[in-house]
Amino acid sequence: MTEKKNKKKSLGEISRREFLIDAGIVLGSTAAVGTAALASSCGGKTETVTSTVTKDGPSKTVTTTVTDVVEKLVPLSCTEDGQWVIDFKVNGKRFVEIVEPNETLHHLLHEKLGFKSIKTFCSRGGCGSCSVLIDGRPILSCMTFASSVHGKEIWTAEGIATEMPALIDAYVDNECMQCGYCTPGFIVTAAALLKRNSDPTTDEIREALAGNLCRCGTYPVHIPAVKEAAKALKGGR
Amino acid sequence: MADVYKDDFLYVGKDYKRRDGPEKAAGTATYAADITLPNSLFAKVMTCPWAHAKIKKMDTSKAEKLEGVVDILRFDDPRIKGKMLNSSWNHPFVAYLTENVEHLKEMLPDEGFYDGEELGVVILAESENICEEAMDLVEVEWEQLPFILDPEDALKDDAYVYFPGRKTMQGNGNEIDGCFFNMGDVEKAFRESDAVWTVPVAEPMINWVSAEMPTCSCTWESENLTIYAHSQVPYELGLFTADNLGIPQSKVKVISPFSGGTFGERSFVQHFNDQGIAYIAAMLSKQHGRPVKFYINRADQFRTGRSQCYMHGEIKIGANKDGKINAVSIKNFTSFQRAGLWITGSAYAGYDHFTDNTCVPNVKMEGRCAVTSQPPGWWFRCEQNIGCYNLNIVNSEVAHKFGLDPIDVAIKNNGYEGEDVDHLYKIAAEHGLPTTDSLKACIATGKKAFKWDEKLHADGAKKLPNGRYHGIGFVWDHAWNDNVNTITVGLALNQDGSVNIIGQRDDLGTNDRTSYSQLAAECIGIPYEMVNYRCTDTYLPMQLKNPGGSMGIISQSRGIMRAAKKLRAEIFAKAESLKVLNGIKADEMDLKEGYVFEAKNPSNRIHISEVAATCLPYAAQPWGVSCKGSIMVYDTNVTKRKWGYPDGGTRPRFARQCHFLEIEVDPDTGEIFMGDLVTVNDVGVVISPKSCKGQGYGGAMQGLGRAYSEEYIYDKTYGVLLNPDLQEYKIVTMLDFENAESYLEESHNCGGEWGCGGIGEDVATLIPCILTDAVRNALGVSITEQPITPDKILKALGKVK
Repeated sequence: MTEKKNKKKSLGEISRREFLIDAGIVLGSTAAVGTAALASSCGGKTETVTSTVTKDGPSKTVTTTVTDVVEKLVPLSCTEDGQWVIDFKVNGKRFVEIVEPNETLHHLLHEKLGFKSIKTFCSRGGCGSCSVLIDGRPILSCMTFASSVHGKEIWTAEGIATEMPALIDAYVDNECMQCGYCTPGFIVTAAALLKRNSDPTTDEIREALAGNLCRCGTYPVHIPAVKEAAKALKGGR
Repeated sequence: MADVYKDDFLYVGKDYKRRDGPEKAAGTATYAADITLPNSLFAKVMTCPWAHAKIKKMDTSKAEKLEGVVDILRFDDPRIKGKMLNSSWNHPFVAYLTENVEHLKEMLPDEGFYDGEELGVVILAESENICEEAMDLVEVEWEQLPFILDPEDALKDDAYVYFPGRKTMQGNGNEIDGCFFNMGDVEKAFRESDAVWTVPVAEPMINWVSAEMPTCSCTWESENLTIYAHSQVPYELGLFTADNLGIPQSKVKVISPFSGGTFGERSFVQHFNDQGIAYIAAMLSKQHGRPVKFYINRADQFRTGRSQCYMHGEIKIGANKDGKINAVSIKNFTSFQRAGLWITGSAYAGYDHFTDNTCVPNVKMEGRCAVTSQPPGWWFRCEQNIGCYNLNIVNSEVAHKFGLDPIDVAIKNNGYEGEDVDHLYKIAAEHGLPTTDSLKACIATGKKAFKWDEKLHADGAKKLPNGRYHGIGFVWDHAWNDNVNTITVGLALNQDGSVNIIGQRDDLGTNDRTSYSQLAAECIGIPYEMVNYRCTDTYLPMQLKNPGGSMGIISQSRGIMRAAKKLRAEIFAKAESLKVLNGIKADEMDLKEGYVFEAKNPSNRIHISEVAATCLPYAAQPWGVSCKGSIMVYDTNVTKRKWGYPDGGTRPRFARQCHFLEIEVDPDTGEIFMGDLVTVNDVGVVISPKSCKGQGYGGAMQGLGRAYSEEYIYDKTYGVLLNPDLQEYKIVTMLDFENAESYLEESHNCGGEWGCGGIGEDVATLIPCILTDAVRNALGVSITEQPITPDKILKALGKVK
């Protein structure tokens, strides 16, 4: 550690390397481009964190070893290049990423971390296909800065499929997908509804899913699917 | 047609768990837009910011200096100059139009003929953001040129001519194509009718709005090119790209993974959004030794077109008080624009729903297509939209003019070639086909489900306690029951007796993986679980029907059946050679539920795996035509219409569809509130019931948007599109319907194996017409110009000018 450790730097004063050192992270080797991964769960003492570092240009993945990590957040910090370092969870796994100040959460999750359930349909907050759950609420990732999710817990459709298989089963049984491109967005919104309302009415389902567009026109079957999922979830599935 | 009346199906007609369902729901299904290959570069094209403009001067120096910009491909670059979107291949529709038009278009021109046309420059950079930033740094001096938005204006004698000197159909140089038809004597029939009147008609320009935007990624392995594309016609895309690159088609492999909505529009291989992005990405990828991803954003996807053309005109109707329609004269104007080829996609289909489906004896059409500064149209559920629209505007007009039930008018005028349904079903009988009156069957089902008779009332006669007016509407037309296509399909037998269906096809969302497996299981005689279908890429050039959205099941089912017959013959021959089943001959065998057995003595049987295993002694060579001992059959199925069109003449359509809608209309705001919606489709034979119904209500949802909210809105002063996004271009949502139910009829009369046929596209194409009928019933006013927006209702009620 250096003396800089205890000196609070202002925006733009901290370099990326300094941040990693400050955070107790030892820079590892540069690996091939890939998605970020957390080798062990957050509760462990030692973790290997693979961070995708991009400023506009070829993305580079930096594998780092985190020693003596405890269950606390890496502090939100800014590098001298104006990038933010954020610490967050996706589907229960922890990620530490360096993001551009204008980078969207959609870009971070889809392009850098490889969560392909998050789709680009309109790019302007009008379709719901890029929805993710942040602290239980459905959020449009294309309209959310990546830097704003520091300390947040995010769930994507991939994670919801694992956590709420009854919802996926109900969607498949009712054939709520045709081309299927928008379906993960519906899953996210439906999951948010079911988390706050275990027995939604038809109108409540319509209202909740009204921000999700489907060009194939699968709308009518989402209503029975969500109701069936609600019933199954109440039954313990 | 084989086994028309077969109804003892083991697998067809049953609901199985949708095979692509779990991965689509969980978001693990991968689409071309999801694919960014490692170390990829990104490409973006400039679009014309004006309705019509030419580049006088372009300075790309600032963009070139931007960090992260890798290459800049200008219109005057030797690498692109002279390249044509259509390559050197003739598309059937090019041949159709070639007599009158020059169909080629430069891949990267310096002149844009409509707001959004791709031109000028392509930026290649390390990221999408840098592409956008660099594009902003390109300085262009534009020469703005005259433009016309209305095709009728473009036909005036003093109109600006876009392409002077070009051979045209008639009139000034803007009239590129048209449709002129006459059957009977409309003028005489008008004179003999109880009433003759004319109604204005208009259909807006609409967009396909697939969820996934046009995109492709190209990468090379030595001399071999792989393209990941959101394409409905990957084989053609590979063909055109290879031709433009000057390499054999055998070195191009196109992978179309899951597709985020296609609806016919992604079959336009001659458009920049297909051939343009694929060729340029491939060329730049080769040059720079890195993968290239070319993407089109939502605003540009709207502006670059690929949608139904704008049409307006009028229909003159002559009819009697009993609902008999004597004559129809259609006059319309359609906008026209070039892409890789000139295409209007609509005008030629304006009259044939009268000749194909009704006994109206006198039909005349004058459809004129002119160049305008609106983007080129292409099929989006579908080119028959105007045909459906014209038929049902007339049906509704006649019913409401004389105070008749529109259903009675439909039944009265149902027929073919100016003669009644007896004539239609006499033809069916002559060809050994069923003679069920499909329209009556559909109507009976729909009326009961909808409670039509209970809801029917005189026009404008039912005001509800909430102050709104109640109305119901009805539409009808033929089912999508004809098909012309060539397909090649393989069935590969594995050692354990399971079978792979082999054929490339874009995933259209119609549950092919399940329904084709059901078909093959039924045709071969093995359990459904033993058949699998996963779309292949184009390296194995066995093509199922592409695009397969329009009645694809007709070609696919017949191809699968023919291949299955060959496979069964091979299995029986092998079983005979093995001297199993007590040495009986092949022609004494049958195959059912996975067992080969003696037809006369079913207990004398062996499992198919015992035959299959002897065919494939080494797992290293599981299948292949050159693989000795294996069984792989392949078949090319050419389905031909037995009659006329497109060689001339008409088409008898033996199956029908009809739909019912209930609405409420607020007379103070003009807002429409949807009530019950019932769709009824005669699909011949149902393969997968849930999926089939899904196509019914899904098509209806799409059609409702076209009926009352979707339209391109242009600034008439500058000719630029004002609503190129999903905030201002309104497609329907969960809040835009109340209750939707889909019903299916099975007449066995739709052209495919056992008489199966299409659904989905036909509903989306027909439904937009239903609102005119429902609003007429609710308010007693005729609004025949789509979409029926609140302002049109208030205008019809005389509340606004």
